[in-house]
Amino acid sequence: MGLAAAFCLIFGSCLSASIQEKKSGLSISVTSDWRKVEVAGLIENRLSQLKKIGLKRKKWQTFFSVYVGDEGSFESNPAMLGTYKVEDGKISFIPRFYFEPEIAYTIVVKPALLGKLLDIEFPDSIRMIHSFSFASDKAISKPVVSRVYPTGDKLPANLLRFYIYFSESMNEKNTFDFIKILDSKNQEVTDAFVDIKNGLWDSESRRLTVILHPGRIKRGVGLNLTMGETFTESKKYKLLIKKELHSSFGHSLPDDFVKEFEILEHDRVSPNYKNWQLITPGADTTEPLQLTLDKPLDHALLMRFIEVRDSADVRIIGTISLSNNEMAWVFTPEKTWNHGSYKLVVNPALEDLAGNRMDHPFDVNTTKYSVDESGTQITIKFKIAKSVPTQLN
Amino acid sequence: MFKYILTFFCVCCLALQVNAKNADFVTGKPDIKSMSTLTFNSEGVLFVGDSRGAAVYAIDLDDKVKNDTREAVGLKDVEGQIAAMLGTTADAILVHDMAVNPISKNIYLAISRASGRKDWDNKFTLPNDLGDASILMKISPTGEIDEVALESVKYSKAALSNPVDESKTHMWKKGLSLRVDTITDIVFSDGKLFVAGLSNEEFASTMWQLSYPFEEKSSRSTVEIFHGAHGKYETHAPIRTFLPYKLKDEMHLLAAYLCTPLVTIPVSDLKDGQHIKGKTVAEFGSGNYPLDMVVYQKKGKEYILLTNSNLPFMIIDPDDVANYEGEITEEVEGYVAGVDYAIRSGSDVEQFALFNDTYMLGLQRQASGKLNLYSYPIERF
Repeated sequence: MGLAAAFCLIFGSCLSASIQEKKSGLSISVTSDWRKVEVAGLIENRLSQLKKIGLKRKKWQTFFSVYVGDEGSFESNPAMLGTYKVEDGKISFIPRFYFEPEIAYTIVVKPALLGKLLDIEFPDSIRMIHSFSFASDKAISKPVVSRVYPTGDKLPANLLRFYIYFSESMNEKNTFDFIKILDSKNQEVTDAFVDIKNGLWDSESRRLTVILHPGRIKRGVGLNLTMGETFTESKKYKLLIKKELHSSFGHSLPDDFVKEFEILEHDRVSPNYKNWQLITPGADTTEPLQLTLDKPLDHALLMRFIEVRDSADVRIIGTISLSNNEMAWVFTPEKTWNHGSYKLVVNPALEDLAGNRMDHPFDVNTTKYSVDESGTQITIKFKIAKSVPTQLN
Repeated sequence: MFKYILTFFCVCCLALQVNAKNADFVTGKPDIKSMSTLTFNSEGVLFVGDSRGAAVYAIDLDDKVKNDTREAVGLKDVEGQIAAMLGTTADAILVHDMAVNPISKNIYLAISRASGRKDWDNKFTLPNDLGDASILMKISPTGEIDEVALESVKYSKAALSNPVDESKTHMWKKGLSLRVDTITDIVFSDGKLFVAGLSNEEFASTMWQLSYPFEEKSSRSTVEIFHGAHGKYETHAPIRTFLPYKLKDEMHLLAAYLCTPLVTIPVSDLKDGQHIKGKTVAEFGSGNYPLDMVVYQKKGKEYILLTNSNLPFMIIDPDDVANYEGEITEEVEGYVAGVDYAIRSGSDVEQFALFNDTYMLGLQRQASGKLNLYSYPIERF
C-alpha cells in the first residue's frame, strides 16, 4: 500500500518517542519535556536551505502539522498554531501553548511535499503519522507557590529582592504580567520591579528572583528622583502572584498568592558578624551548629556564602537550614563533630535584604567614601567542646 | 538648589511630551490584560476595552482590503476548532466578544484559554466573569480561522479615569471582583469612543467618552436609572449593551441593563463629572442579560435588534422609542412595559454582530453544547 504510518500512544513512563521512516530517512520525536515536536534526518545543507527560504507557518503546515486528536479523529481538526524553527539539526514545532496531559495529539509529516521544496525525491505516497499523549501524573501536578523569601512580614524600605519558589516548572513567558506589588488600597505600585523580560528564573523554571528596582532605591539617581521610592515606611503592601501564572504544562495556580508585609525604615548598614551569636554542639554528635545573625540576610546567599571548615581548612559537609525569618543559620554535619578548633568562613559578598554586603553597604556615596572591594573573607573561629555545649561569641 | 529646580522643571516637560505622544500610535505589543470588549470604527481600527487594565486600546491591524461580500458565512463548533488550534479541548475555550471589521468583513473574536466553559454553570455568569481573554482570533468571510498576532502592531492606549477597584466585589456573584465590569461595552460614534462600565464613584455606573485619536483628558459621567421591573433606582448596575442613536435629530444613547430595562440618555447631557438620570422607556423582562444591540436596515428603514442571554431576539423600531412620551417611574407588573417590540426566535445566541448588507452573524449555543457561527438573513427580521 505504500502508506507508512506508525501509531504510538505513550503514557507517563515513556518520556519521548520517535519513529523512523526508512524511505525518507526522516524521524519524528517529541522532546522529553513535552514542549516540542522535532523532525530529524535532513542533512545540514538541506536545513540551511530551509532556513534560507524562510517559510511562513501555513507553508510549514503543508508538510509538517500537529493536530489535537488521535489517529482516528485528528483529521476533523485544524492544525495547531505554533512556531516552526530549524535548530540543532532538526525542524522543530513549538506549540502556541504547551501540550496538555491527557489530550491525544497527532503529528503528520509529508516528506514528498518537503521534498518538493528542497528538490529531493521522496515517494509521494509516504505520510508519516505519529500520535502521542501523556498522563497527568504527579510529575505534572498543579503548581503552587511553595515559599517566598524573605519570609518575614516586616521588610526594609530599600528591600532589594524577593525569591519565589514554585512546586513545578513554570511558564516563563511574560512573568511580570502576573507578579505585582499592591499598596494598602490594592493599587498596583507601578515600575516596582526591574523589567527583565520573562523574569529571572533558575534553570528548572521553579525559582523566580524578583529584583525591586534599584534605581528607585539608590538615592539621587534617575528613577529615585523622578518616581520616588517604591515603598513608604510603616505602610503595608502585598506581593501578588496572580493565579494566571501557568506551569509549563499549562496548569494555573490554585488561587492568587498574596504575601503581605509592612515596611520598616531603610537599612543602609552592613551586616556585622561581631553581633552574631553561635551555639556550638558537643563533640561526637551530629547536633547542629546554630548561628544567630544580627538581622535577616539574603537566603540564597546564606545557603552559599557561609562555610564550616576544620583546623586544616577542610570544608565540612553538611546541610544548611534557615529559620527565624532568615536570622538563624543552622548547619547539621553529615559526620560527627570532633573535639577541637573549627571556623566559619563568610564570603564578604553576603548581603542583607537591602543588598548591604558584609564589607560595604548597598547605597554608598562613592564620592565621599572608598569601597573596599578586596573581597577579604571573614573568619569566625569556634571550638567544639568535649561534652556539654557552650555558648561563644 | 537652582540645579534641582531646573531638573524638576525638565522632568515636567518630559512628562507632558510623553502624554502628548500617547495620542499617537506606537508599534509594539499592547499590554492588554483582558480583551473584555471589541468594536471597530468605520476605518477598520479595532478598539479593545480592557476591564482588568482599565484602559482602551485602538489597534490598527492593517486589515483594510475592502470586501463587499453579500454571502453568508457559517462554521460549526467554533470553540472546538479554535481549541484544536490552541492545542486544547472546546470546554477550555471561551468567546468573550465578537466584532466585524466593516471594511474587510473579517470577524474578530476575543478568546480565553483556561478553565473555559467547565466552570460556566450559571446563566448569570458572563464570560468576563470566568476569565480574561488574551487571544485575538480572526475568521475570514470565507470561514478560515487564524490567530491575530499582537506582538508588533500599531496601537494607541488610553487609561480610564477612576476605574472601579479590584478589591470591590460583586453584590451577589460571590467573590467576583467588580473589576471585570470596568468596561461592559464600547461603541465608536461620531469621532468618539463611548465606554460603559463601572467607576469608583458613589454612583458606580459610568459612561466615559474619549475623543479619538485619544487625548489625555476624557469625560466621565455617572448614570442612574429607574428600573421598573425591580421598582427601584439603579446606580450600581452597569449598562450591558448600548448604541448611540439619533432620536428626533438629537443624539442619544440607547442603553440596556440586566433584567432588561431600556433607557435613553441624551448625549449632550453627558458632561464630565456630572451625574445624570436616564429615561427608562421599556422593560423587556426579568432574569436576562441584554447582550448585543445592532442597527440594521430593512427596505430602507432602520431597526434595532437586541440579543439576550435568556430571552429571544427583540426588534425595536427606533421611531417608537423617539415617539414614546411616557417614562417608567414605578414598578411594573409582569416585568414588561413601555416601548413595543417584536420577537424573533433566537435563544442562546451568545455573540451577535452586523456582518454585511444581507446578513447578521451570531454565535449560537447548540443542544450538543457546541457553539456554531450562523449567518442570519436580515430579511428574516
